[in-house]
Amino acid sequence: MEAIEPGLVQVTRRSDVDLDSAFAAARPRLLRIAASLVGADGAEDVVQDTYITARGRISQLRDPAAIEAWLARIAVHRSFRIRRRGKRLQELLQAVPVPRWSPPPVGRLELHELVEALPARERAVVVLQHGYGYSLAEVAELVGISHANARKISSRTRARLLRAWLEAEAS
Amino acid sequence: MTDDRLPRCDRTRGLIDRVVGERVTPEDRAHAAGCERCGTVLLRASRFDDELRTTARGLVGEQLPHGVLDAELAPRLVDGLRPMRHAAPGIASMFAALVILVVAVTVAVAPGGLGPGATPQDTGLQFAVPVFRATVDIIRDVQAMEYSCIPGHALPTTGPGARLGEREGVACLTPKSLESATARITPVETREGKVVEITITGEQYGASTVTSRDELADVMSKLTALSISDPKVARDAAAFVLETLPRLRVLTSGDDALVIYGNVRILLQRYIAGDYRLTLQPT
Repeated sequence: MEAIEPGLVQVTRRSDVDLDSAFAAARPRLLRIAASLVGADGAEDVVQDTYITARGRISQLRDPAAIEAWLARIAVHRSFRIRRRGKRLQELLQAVPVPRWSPPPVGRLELHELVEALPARERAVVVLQHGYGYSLAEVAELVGISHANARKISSRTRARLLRAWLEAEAS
Repeated sequence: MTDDRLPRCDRTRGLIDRVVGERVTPEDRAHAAGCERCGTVLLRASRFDDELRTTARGLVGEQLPHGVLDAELAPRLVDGLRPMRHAAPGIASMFAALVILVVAVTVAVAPGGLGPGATPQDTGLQFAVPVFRATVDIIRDVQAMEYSCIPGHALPTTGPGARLGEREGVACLTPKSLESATARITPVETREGKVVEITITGEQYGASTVTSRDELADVMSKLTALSISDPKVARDAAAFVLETLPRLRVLTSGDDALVIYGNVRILLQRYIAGDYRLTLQPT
């Protein structure tokens, strides 16, 4: 059996405690950040994922003073990747019979409704780029994709939104 | 909003395809000039990027903590880190010093000079210092440079187009003597009259040339300098505008640059039509 250094055990335990208290303090802010990026419905999932990820990677945190920014960065990263869960949820919901719903008149469809209806990753890119004002290079860095991919998502999403917005006007 | 009174047009759907594909032709524009429905589509398309920014900003419920883009924070979370966009210091600072000097001299020699309201009153409390100068001080400074000022409008405070304040304190336009461009400064105020945002817009007359862009950059950087209370932030912000504005490109989706100096967030945008918008907000 490998010998455990007492100091190491102590450090690990202290990190766990520090993470829990830091996470508890940052949680309301993380929820608001996640809600900005994926909407209120998915924010709780993002924050839970953030905690799990942070707990598994706490040893990577080099500067304990930067823990809130580190958690926020993980939250942004997880927001971009919550799509599959959202998609699976949508599939499940579609299988559940619901009362017939009439869509609102198309002409009343405003742009914020279209943005809020975007899949999580597209919405996250739109909000990071146009809401927070990050460049596409910075968005790519935050969510962990290539610049080219960020540009592609941004361009494709813009075209989708523009088409839907114009068709709402013209219909 | 759909207006059912507009006559239908068989070309509208094809026009939307071409707008989205960025293939609008001169024939489309000529047709739209005489077709209300297609004209509305083109007009709406020209507003799209502005509306998208406003909408996306409305969804932001919390700013990200300072340092979130620090590459050292989560080295194994992301790959392929790329450099951030920074406002470059150096020559810009020298330009800024010149801008500040010009503004200071202009204001100092103006009738009435620079009144006590131009400098935040020393209350002894750091948080009491306003981010932006008061509307009356801005008016006095720009009128000394022969700007013409008119009353501002009320602004929406709810919904996706909501603004930080509820009215434009004033709208001041550059003098007609300016050769190649025009600019407008608008302080946005709360009900109590506190300036919470400054917008500065600029347009070039005729073709966009190096000269016209430089002239507009000069004007908009001066307006930036006289909007901000903190002299150092004002100097840095003016330098940023002076250096960055002429370099913004004409892109289909527009081009923009964002920077934060001290307690001021500065967003400089160039739209597809070639006009510029500068938004100063507290961080």
